[in-house]
Amino acid sequence: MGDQSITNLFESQTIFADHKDLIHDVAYDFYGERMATCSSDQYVKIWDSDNKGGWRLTGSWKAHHGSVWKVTWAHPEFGQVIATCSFDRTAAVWEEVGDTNSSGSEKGLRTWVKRSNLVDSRTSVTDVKFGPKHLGLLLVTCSADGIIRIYEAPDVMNLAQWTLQHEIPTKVSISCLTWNPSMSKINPPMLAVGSDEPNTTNAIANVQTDKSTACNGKVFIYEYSEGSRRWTRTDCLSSVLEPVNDIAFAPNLGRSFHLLAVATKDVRIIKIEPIVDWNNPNSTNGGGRFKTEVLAAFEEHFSCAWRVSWNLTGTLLASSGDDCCVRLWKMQYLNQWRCVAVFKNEPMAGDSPPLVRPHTAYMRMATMANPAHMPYH
Amino acid sequence: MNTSNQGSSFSRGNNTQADSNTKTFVLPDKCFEQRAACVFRSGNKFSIYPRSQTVSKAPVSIDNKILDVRQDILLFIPILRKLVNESNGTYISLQKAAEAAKTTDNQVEFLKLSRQYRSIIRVCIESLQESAAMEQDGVKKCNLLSYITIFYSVECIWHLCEILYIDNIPGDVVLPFLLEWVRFHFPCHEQTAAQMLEACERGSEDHPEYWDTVIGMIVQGRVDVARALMKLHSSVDSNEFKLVDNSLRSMPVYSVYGGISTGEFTISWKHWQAECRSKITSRVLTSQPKLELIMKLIIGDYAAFESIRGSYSSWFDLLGGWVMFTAPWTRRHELGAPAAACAGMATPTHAPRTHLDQMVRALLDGDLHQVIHEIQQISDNGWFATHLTDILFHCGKLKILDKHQNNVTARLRDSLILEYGCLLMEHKSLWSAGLSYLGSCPPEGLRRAELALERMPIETEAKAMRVIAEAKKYGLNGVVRTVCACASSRLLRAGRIGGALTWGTRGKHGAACGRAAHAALRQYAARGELPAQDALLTATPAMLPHHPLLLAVKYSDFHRLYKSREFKKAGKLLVSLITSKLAPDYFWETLLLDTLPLLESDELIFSSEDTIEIMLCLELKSSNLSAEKADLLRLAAVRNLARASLADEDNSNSE
Repeated sequence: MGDQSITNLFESQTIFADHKDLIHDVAYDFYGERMATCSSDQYVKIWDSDNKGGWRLTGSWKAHHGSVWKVTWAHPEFGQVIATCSFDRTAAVWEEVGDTNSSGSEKGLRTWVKRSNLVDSRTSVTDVKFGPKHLGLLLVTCSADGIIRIYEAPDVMNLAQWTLQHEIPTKVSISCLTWNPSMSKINPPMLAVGSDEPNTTNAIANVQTDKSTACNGKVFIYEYSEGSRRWTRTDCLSSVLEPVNDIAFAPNLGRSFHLLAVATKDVRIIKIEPIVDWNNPNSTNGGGRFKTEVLAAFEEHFSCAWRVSWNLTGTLLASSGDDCCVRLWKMQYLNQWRCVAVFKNEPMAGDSPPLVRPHTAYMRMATMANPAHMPYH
Repeated sequence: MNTSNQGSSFSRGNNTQADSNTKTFVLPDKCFEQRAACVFRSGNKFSIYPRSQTVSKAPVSIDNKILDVRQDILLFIPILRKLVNESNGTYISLQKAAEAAKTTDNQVEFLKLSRQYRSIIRVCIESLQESAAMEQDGVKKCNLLSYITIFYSVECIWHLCEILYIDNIPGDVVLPFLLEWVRFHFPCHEQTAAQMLEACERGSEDHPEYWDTVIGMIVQGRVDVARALMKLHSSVDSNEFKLVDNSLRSMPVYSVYGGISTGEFTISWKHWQAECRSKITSRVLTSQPKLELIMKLIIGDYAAFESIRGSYSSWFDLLGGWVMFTAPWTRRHELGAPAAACAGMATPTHAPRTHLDQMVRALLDGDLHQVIHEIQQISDNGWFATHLTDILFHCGKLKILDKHQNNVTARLRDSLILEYGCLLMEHKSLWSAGLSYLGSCPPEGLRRAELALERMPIETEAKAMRVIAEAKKYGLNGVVRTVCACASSRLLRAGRIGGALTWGTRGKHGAACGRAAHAALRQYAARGELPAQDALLTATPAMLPHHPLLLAVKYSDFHRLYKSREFKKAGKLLVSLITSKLAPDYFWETLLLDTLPLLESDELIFSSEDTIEIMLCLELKSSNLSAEKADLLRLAAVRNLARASLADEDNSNSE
């Protein structure tokens, strides 16, 4: 009858990023049609999809005076806007100027203008993220000295003006943060942050002196209270005790709970379910705000996981770690999670196929099961 | 494409079997040896890049590459477009039929739809065959052939499923249907038989395939054809031939409507078999080994069946004959044992068991759980699993329990449909079909549709309108708002204020309208010409009180009145704009200066009350004007106040 699974499962194409140093982050815009990359070479590059599967470099500029850690896109409702953060202690907001529809700019690079430089941090700014669009144009940064800053652009037509709305000290080094994307009115605005503070005795002592953090977890949940107009720490996930490298909320899909992926010594998926107090829905009674549950902890990356990323609908999670593998995890219909694919660098028999042009067509990816099989066009 | 397939795989008890399905892929570049990171794009596309956690001490020259990875999706090849679209139509009809079936029995309708699905697959196979025949390129041809194999198995399994679960079989006696299935999917010797019968020559035994064909017809249950072929043998008049022909002719055939009970039939059938058996034991056929083989086959002799197994590529070929000659009254859910018997026959080549084998076995065993698990492994991107599970679910034939014995059938069906719907959403023209799958799976389907739809790349205005129309169809008003706001924002940044305003009002998006209105007012304040007059005059700001759009609309109305020299009305409107204090700071100067020509016109426009209001606002907002302009206005206002007071005096006197 022949082989029914003859087709390969994935195909790939290589883009030559042309950064002069290590790449730290790659981010796609809302539609997945534009890509921003940033690097230790202090440059940010913008790539546009040519709709034929290729990528065209349309922007490249020196953005900071230090390694650029993260790059992130604003919702397109606010224009073509990105934010970057850097070792140089600043975060910056950039806007593409000129008619983005005009074909005249095809020849050269488009112009990106620095609209704002956020210089409040006194240490390296480790992460930057735009808020969910229903909250307006918000930007949150975190830094190595543990301060979370929330900025707002009151007039979205004027990106030069950002007001520092909130400054939240955490007393531990913060490496990453994520907004809860839930649009539901029931959930107040929510942020999760991860700390990469090493577990020295000193750090623990530090944490314990702070009354509100009588917990040596590494993931903190902050929520905004409309009443007090303040962000307060409403939970600290006691299940994560090792330094955290990346953190990401899954799209909510109208669920009553939130899913948080955490890259720490393993890849974790944590279910966070708000406990609704019907008598007093606005109260935040100490640690009893959420019921949290570790749904999965994958140790396949050996010592350390570095990155987690959800797909659009939150059904697939990609993770990477010290083993230099990328794994895809998938939720099945009975809510168990399972690894469905592993991408790894394995010396193959012979050289890898030569990839000459920057915009080659997609190539089939070879599976490990059959090392003699070479990818072909 | 396995991520989707495996997505809804089953775990029975524990997950130990799961790991064997994990596929490992080679990253083609050395730069991923030291470090790798990943980020999702849209759909099932993501990229892998060599991310570093640390800063290098000195800038190092690194071969930095980003690997764009996407799923290879078979269904997206153009030739399968028709399959996707047509099956979508059938799927939608099926959902309607299922809705109707809640009140009445709708089994006939389900059967009709199942046949429709199968004919869609067959058309698809035909078009694949056509293009495979035309294809010159070796690799492409090979691919097309493998697609044919895939859909061929799909149709084969679907057909069997239809017989076993969807079709209405009288008395559940499956034999005629099973024989039809075997003949249809495993046509062996049929052509040779037809040729021989057409030639109608005596002495056809010289044909090298003569006996294979006769026996082939026997195991396919075509006894009449076999007998006709035997008549072409040169020694047909011999006793042996007569004897066998007689046995074949007298074989009792069971029919539900035959008027005899199963019991009676069984007795006569057993009697007939005993007679046949006695003929073999009487050794009258020893001189004709082929005839003896036929006799052994029709009494259901296992060794005889096993001896011819090698002539057939699979055990399915023998299944119909085996059932026919061992237990023709077999009901459709009793096929497990005959299947085990046939599958167990030794083959001379020891061909490995194929995937199709496993699927057919599971199906005949009645293990639908396993069937769905197996068909998810087919590389059809879940097309088959989704549609088959859906139809079985609606027929009420599917019951799947988790380890706590909860019925999770609906969850399984939903998860497959959601997965398939999301997959189609990734395609630039199949997305609306995808939407209909997601729409049939509320509430999660609609939430997923929302996420995918608002991220649909909008290249043209027409595309935007299509996305909006589809979103409205499913009540996804959030998507309408987002698409409009983004279109509005894009146009606004391109300086096209009118377009931005139109999109903002189309999406009833307050913020977007506001931005466009502000831009219009600012531009007027700066350049003295009001942009987007048409859009402003047609906009309906009624829903937006205290909004910059209201100001912009009213202000453009003021311009219209002024131009048509309706100064009184224009003046009234202008005063209402000033007194409402809607204007942002940058626009006060414009508003106030607009009073100047009206204050100084020959005709008296503003009453004394109006003039006093203007003077009041002028003093309140004087910081927005230069002192010179303010003085000019003050002078004009005072003069007008004098005129107006005199006129008031006259009026009161004349009363």
